[in-house]
Amino acid sequence: MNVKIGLETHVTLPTKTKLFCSCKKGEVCPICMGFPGVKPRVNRKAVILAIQIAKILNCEIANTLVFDRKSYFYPDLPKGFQITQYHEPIAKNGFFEFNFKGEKRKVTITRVNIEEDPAKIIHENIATEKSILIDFSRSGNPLCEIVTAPELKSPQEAKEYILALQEVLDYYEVMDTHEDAAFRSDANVSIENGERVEIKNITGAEELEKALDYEIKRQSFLLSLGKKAERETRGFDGKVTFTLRKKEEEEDYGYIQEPDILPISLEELKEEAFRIMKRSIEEEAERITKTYRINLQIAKIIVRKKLAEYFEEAAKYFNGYSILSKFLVVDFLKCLNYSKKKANETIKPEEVAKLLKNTSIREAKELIKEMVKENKTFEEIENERKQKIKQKTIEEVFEEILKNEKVKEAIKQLRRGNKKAENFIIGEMLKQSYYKFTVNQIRKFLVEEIK
Amino acid sequence: MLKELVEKIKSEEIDVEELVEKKIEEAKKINEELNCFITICEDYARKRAKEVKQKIKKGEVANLKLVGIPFTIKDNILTKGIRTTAGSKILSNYIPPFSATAVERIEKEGAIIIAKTSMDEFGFGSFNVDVGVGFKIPKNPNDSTRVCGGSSGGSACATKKLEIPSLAESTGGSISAPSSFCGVVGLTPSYGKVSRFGLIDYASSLDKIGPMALSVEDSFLVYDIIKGFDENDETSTSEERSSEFKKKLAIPKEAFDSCEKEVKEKFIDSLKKIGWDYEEVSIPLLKFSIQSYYIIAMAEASTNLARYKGIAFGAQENVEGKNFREYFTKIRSASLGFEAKRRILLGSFVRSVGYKGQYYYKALAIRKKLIEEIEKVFKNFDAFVLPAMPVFPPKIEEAINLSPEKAYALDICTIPWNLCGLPHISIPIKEKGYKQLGFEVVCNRFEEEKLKKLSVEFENKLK
Repeated sequence: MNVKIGLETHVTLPTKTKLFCSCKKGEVCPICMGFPGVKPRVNRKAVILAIQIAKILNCEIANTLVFDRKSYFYPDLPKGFQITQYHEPIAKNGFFEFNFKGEKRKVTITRVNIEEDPAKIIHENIATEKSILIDFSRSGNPLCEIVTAPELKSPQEAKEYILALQEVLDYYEVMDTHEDAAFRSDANVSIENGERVEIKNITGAEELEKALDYEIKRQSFLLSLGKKAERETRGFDGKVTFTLRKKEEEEDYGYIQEPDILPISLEELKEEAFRIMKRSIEEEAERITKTYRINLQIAKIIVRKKLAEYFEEAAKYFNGYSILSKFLVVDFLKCLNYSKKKANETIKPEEVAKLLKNTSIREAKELIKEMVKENKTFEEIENERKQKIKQKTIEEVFEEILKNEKVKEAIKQLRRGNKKAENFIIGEMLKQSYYKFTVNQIRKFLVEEIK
Repeated sequence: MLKELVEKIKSEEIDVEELVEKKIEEAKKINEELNCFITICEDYARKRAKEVKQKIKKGEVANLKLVGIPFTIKDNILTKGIRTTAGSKILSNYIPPFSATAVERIEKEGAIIIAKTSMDEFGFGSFNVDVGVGFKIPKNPNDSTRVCGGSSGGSACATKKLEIPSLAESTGGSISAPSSFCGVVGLTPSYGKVSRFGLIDYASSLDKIGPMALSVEDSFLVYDIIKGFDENDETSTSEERSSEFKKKLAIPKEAFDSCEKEVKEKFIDSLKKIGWDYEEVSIPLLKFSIQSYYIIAMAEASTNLARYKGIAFGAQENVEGKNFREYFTKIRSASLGFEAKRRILLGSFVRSVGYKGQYYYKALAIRKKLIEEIEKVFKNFDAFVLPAMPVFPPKIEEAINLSPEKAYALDICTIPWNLCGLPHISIPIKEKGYKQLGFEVVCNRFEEEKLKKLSVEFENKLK
């Protein structure tokens, strides 16, 4: 089936203050609440970040920054209009590459623009159905809107695009990573060259995939009945999409130039943005490969996953760089994902180095789980381990390993006289007992046990 | 002269509290007759007078330029803690939490605000008859059956009657027009020279705060205090320009031709008194400045007023709607005046899909072209001179019954300069009775220094 998906994704920029006033995110002031008489003041830091995003997305960047007013009547806009960019976005004509099902995909970025976030409407937790709450603390947050051409071909691909975009923007530190600042996307979907349906305001990659899946099924179903999807704007409630506005009800935003902000030359801001921008993922991976003589593909993962600094710090204490790098991208990363932590939110790099230095890889793979999850140092883990060993008898250890089906099978084999099976069981006993018992002790025990 | 008055206050020859008390009493009295104030903030004024007096006693006022000078402020300029309505029912109980930069700057110099002046709702009018729902029309100080001009009508009327300066505001002529009708000096600075922070927006690319006073010198004294860059307004600037004197004045033909015969005659008489060379200059595009102005102004106004929809501002109890739209509509229908509605509707229309190209963009293009055309004239002339209004103040009833096209057309003497952001001043040609007329001088953008020199000289010769 011919599916075309285009995305408009809103990324919150990681500034301390809002786009047009000096209050911190989460706070409010007369400017972001649209009091009479206030005027916007452009946050230059936000502009620099948007330029960096444009650069990452290989865009042509404008020479002057101009804003427009987008008008619509809804309670989430304190001024009754949103300051955004319509006629001349800060950047256009770029592309973004990402991997999907082992293939390289390239999607056209038609434009990148800067705009202010509206307030947040809260429908829950209020006494009557007649009222809503308006949270102005989000109003005026700096957003960068990234618009793709309708070139994505499936909900899965759209999801991968979002995840990859998130990873890259996170690497460059040009997106706000707070939970409430998650990517919000509007998606355009059409099938078999039918009418374009827009789904508004979908948070995150998973939700996007779900919304698109549902919408494509809906459109296909209509098609199977000989009907066609109408051009309209829909919402998504987590399960289904539903009509927000029909085409004829579409608002005319009546864009005009923003008269409170004169055009701003981007020459100096561009210079500044490029000067302070992080090295590209490729450059950084190459540098690490050269310095530590590790595999380039692994180095790239280290860089993309923002583990470079962690790796380099750990490498000061452990010079098995190749082992360390693989351990970080496979085991350590798995533990981070599992406990939903970032590298700087768990044990210090030094601890990973100590772990690898003092234990076998096999043990390290086990121990790292607890270290990451519980923020335990290598020393703490070691002490606990010694403690445990002291308490366990050989019988207890044997019972433990009996839980393993492979061990049960090995015991059967041993009973039939298979000596190789004995080696396997001894290995398991050693591991389970943290090497408290010697091979001879175990062998002696086994002879008794198997009689 | 303000300078002398300030010296007398500083030296305690005049008691600041007594002066303020006297002006408050006068203000109350004239307001009964002329409706020139929306709010007389007497408590605030007395408190400030006391503060200023203490400062004088402590000797802390040596370098201050407006010590103890009572001021009136147009009611679309925010004054912290003092109700500021922009002449509209929708803001009729709005008490701002901060002051406009211009207000802060005059208060820092020792000025004392005593009242907020009447205006056309949000500045939407040239005669001050388009007042908000529940507001009164201010009357001409020289003939109370006539209009005092708009939209800063209350400011002009108060300046004339109380003989104290005012902070007014012009979008398309709202300083010159009432200054001309009431017989006071009104200075409209270049766009951007005075911060608009704290000015309730009408049309952001056109709005300008400027002073009204009884003399050219006084108006520039106030201007010099309020001018200059303000970090709270991105469009503000400290830029100044100068050019050589050519000793030659231009009469803009297309505007001058629209003036009444008697206005023309009086003006030419005055021009002869001044004695400079002058020449009539034709700028055909000037004719389209009115359309261009109203399209841009209404387009911007219709967005600027979108915040008054009954959420943070203009909320009313017992108004319900089956959805947001209906609620907003009910609130706005009841709280905005007729002219405001007209401008919002037209403004929304000219920027809508399908019409934007014919109207909004064309208007922007005309503005750009007109600026270039006018720029050329300034190569050979120091200034444009013309009557500030093409007519004398009409009767209130006449003004109310004017069709909008006719009313808008009467802005021809002020709109071109407002549209192009050029500094201009209206100097009274001293006349008796209601037939007051302003002698308007227009200089190139940011050439306020030249404008000052010219107008000081012209004022002397017009005496």
